[in-house]
Amino acid sequence: MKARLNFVVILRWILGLIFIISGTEKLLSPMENFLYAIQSYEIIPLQELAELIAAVFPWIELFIGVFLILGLWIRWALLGTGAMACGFIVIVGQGMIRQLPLVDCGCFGDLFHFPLWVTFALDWMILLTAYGLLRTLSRTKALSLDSWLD
Amino acid sequence: MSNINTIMRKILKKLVVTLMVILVPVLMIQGARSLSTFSQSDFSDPISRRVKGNPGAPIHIIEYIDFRCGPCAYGSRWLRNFMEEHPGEVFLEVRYYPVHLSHGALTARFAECALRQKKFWEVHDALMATQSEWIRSVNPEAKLLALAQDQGLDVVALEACWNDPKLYDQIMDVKKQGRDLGVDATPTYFVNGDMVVGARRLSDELKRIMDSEKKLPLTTEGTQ
Repeated sequence: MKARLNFVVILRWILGLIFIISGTEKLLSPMENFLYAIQSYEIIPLQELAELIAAVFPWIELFIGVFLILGLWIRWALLGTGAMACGFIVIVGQGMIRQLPLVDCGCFGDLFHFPLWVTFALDWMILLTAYGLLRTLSRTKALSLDSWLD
Repeated sequence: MSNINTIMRKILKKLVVTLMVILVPVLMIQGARSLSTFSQSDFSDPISRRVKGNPGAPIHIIEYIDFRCGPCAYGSRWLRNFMEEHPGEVFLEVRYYPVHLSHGALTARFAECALRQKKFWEVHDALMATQSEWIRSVNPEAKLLALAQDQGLDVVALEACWNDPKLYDQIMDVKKQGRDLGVDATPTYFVNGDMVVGARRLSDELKRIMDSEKKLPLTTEGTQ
């Protein structure tokens, strides 16, 4: 294994860090804060489903972030990242089209506040970054647990 | 055969590492949550009540809020509209539950000092309406003082009040009472004694009560 630091590894860490911050903030805040953010997008009809997402989703974000930073199950973590980014794009996009009165995207809880168009752009960047990292998986795997364990 | 063994060993090794990688953040998050709860658990005397509506109303609501929380602002607006649409049906009591000890506790002190100038509801509504503005300030005192002036409060008396160290303990005592009742998130409501967590749940519960015309008298659970 040639463990060399390269640009894609730094991108992988940045992506992981974004997810860790986002997940941790939601997990340390009352669940209702994130639940409110979900409900504000008016896309999930069932209260129970919204509650389930509010409870589970931050953990998924956190684990994906940790996996990306440590480089464990990288392919799956990147696929998960891409899937989440696609979901965010659809949810935020419909919010923009419907002109929902959203002050803030709710993605980082109370830590950072971004208007929807910034969030939309950020989600596209995450999606494209995840795609790019998947395309260069052999370089992305540098300095990773995957390359050590495989 | 040895190839299979090697592959199995690799998979097992990776699963063990994965388990450890999952376990560490879980323990850290749980630890941080416990620490946060522990550091907020030492308080004293109760303070005056913040109520509005018809005391003889069939629906009594106790609302635990943090002025800093988004769902509380949403719930507060929804509840105000509901009370306007159904006059005489609801008696509301607000109690402080500052989850965040910076902005949350500061705004609770601010609202309590406004109450002492008989302007609680004006300040309550203004805080909720302007939440997105002051929540982003690192030092929101200036914005709160401007808000106080807009609401016609005596700013000098207000500052003297919110600098009173006893006030913080009193507000935290209200929070402790809430925790003793099982509150651990905001907004939490007690509708005729039944705990309802979240603004959406409240609207469902009130609609259910109104639809079934099952307007129960006040129960004592959860009231002062």
